[in-house]
Amino acid sequence: MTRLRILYNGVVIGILCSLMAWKSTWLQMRIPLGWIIPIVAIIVYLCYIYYGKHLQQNWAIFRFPETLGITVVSFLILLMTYRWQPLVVVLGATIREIFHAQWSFGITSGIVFAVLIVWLIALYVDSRKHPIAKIESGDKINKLTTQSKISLVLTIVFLGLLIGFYYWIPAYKDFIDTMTALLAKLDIKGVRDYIDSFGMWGPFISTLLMVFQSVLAPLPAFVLTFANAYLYGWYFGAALSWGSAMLGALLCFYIARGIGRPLAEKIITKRALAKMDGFFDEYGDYTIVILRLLPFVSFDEVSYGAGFTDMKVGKFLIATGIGQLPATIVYSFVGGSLGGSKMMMFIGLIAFIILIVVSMVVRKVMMNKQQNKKLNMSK
Amino acid sequence: MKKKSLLISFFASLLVIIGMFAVSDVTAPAAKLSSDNPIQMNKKKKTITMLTTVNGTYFTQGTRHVIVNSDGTNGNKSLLKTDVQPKQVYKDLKKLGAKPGDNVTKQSKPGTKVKGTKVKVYFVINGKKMRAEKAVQVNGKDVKNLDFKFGGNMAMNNKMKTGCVLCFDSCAVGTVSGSKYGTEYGEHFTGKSSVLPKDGKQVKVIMQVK
Repeated sequence: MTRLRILYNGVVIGILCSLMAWKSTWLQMRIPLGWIIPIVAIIVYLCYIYYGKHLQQNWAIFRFPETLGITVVSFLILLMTYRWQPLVVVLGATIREIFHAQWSFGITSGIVFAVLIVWLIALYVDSRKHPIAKIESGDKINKLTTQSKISLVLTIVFLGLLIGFYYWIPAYKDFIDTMTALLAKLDIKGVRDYIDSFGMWGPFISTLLMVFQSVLAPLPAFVLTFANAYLYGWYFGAALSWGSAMLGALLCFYIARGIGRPLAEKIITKRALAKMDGFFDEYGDYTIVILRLLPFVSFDEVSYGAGFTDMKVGKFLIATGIGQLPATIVYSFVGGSLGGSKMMMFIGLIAFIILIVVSMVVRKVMMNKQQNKKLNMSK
Repeated sequence: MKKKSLLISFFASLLVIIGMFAVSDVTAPAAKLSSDNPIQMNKKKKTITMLTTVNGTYFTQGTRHVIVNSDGTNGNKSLLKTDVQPKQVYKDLKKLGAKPGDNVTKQSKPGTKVKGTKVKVYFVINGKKMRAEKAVQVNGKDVKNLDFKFGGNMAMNNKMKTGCVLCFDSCAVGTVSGSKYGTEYGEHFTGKSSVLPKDGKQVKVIMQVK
C-alpha cells in the first residue's frame, strides 16, 4: 500500500506539473503535456525505491495527512490558476491528447477526479488500518538525517517553484502583483472587490490570499480579515480568517521545519536560534499564545520561528488557534462594521483600543520579566 | 444526301456527348462531404470545402493553428481538426489558380508577413456561412480581417509533418495563413464558444480563392 500511496502522490504532482505547463504556450504547442503525468509519477516512484531504503519510518514524508495536503493544495492552485470550467477542459484535453482521442472534456475529467477520490479513500482506509509513525522531528531536530535532507530539498523545490511560476506564468504573476499592491497599500476595498469578483469561489481565493501573505511575512493580514468580515459578515468572516490564518501558519511552520535547524543555524546564526529557544523554554507552551496576542509581533515570523524549534505541530496549532482568536474577532468586528452599522463600528473600535492597551501591558510585563531575569543572571 | 445527313447527325451527337462529358466535370453533383470524402472543390465558385471537427480546448487556451490534419504532429493543437492532408489543399488551391507565396522560411525575420494569392475563409455553422474572423478572438478581442493568403510552404510541410493546413498568423509551414500578423506572433488566438459548435461537433470550412 505504501507503493500505491507514493504513486498517488506522483500522479497528483504530475497532474499539477502538467496542467501548470499548459500556461506556457511555447511548451503546450510543442509536446503532448499529458506525458508529464506518468514521467513525474515514475520519478517520484524511483526516488522512493532509491531513497526509501535509507529512510526511517517507511517514506513517512508521504503519510496520509501529507498526501491529503498535497491533493488539496494542488487542487486549490489549479483552481486559482484556471477556475473551474477551464480546469475541466484543460484536464480533459491533457488526458485525451495522450490517447489521441476525441472524448468529452467533462466525462474525461470526471473519470480522473473519480479515480483520484476513490484512490484517496482507499489510502485513508489503509492509513487507519496500518498507521505509520509520525516523523520524529522533535528529538532529532539538530541532526542532519536523510529524512531532513529530503525535506530540505522538497522545501527548496517548493519555494523555487513559487518563485519560478512568477516568471513563467503570466496569470500567477498578475495575481501576485495585484495582491501585493493591494495589501501593501492597505486597500481594503480593493481586496474586498477582488475576492468578490470570484463569486462562489471567493472564500477559497481569500484562503489562498491569507496563505500567500503568510509566506511573504511583511504583508499585513488584517486587511484580509477586514475584507472577509465585510463580505461574509463578521461571524463567518472571522471563521474564514481564523481558519485560513491557521493554514498559513501551518505552511510557514512546515517551511521552517523543512529548511531544518542545521541550515537555519548557518543562516540565522546559532546564537539567535538559542535566544529563541530560551524564549520558548521560559514561557513554555504559552509562548505562542502570548506572541499571537501581540499585534506588534509578526504573525508569520512567530510561525517560522516555531518551526525551527522542537515544538510539536499539534501544540503549535492549538496555541496558534487560541492566540489569534481575540485579534481575529476584533478585526472582524471592525471589518463587519465597514458595511454601515454605527453601533458595530463603535463596539469594534472600543474592542480594538482595548486590545492594543492590553497588548502593551503584556509587552511591558514580559520585558520587565526578561530584564529581571538578566539582572538575576548577572548577579 | 442521306449519307451526308447521317454524317452530320453522327458528328452532332458526338459533339453533344463530348460536350456533356466536358460540362459534367464542372456541373455534376460532387460526392457528399463526409469523413470518407472530407474535401470538395468547386471550380466555378473557386472554392474548396473541407470537413473539420471542433477542438474545444482552444475556446479557453491560446493557439495559432486554425486547421491541422489529425495525423500531423500538431494534430491536437488546433481549433479545428481535419482528415484532409495539407498536400490536397495545396493541389486544389493551385488548380483553382492560386499562386503560393513561399516567402516565409524558418530563417525569416520575426514579423515577416506571408504573401501569395488572397484566400477568403468561411465557416458554415448550423447551415449559416460566416467569415472565419467572426468565430475567433485575438488576445480576447474581436478581429476584423486576418487577411488569409496562400503561403504554400509545401516543402517545409512535407519535411515537418505538422499537418498544418490553416494558421492564424504568418507561418513557414501552413498551407494558408493569416498575413495580418507576422511570423512568430504566437499563440494568442482563441475560438468563440458562443459562435462555434461544441467540442467534437463538425464544421464545414470554405476557402475561396480571390
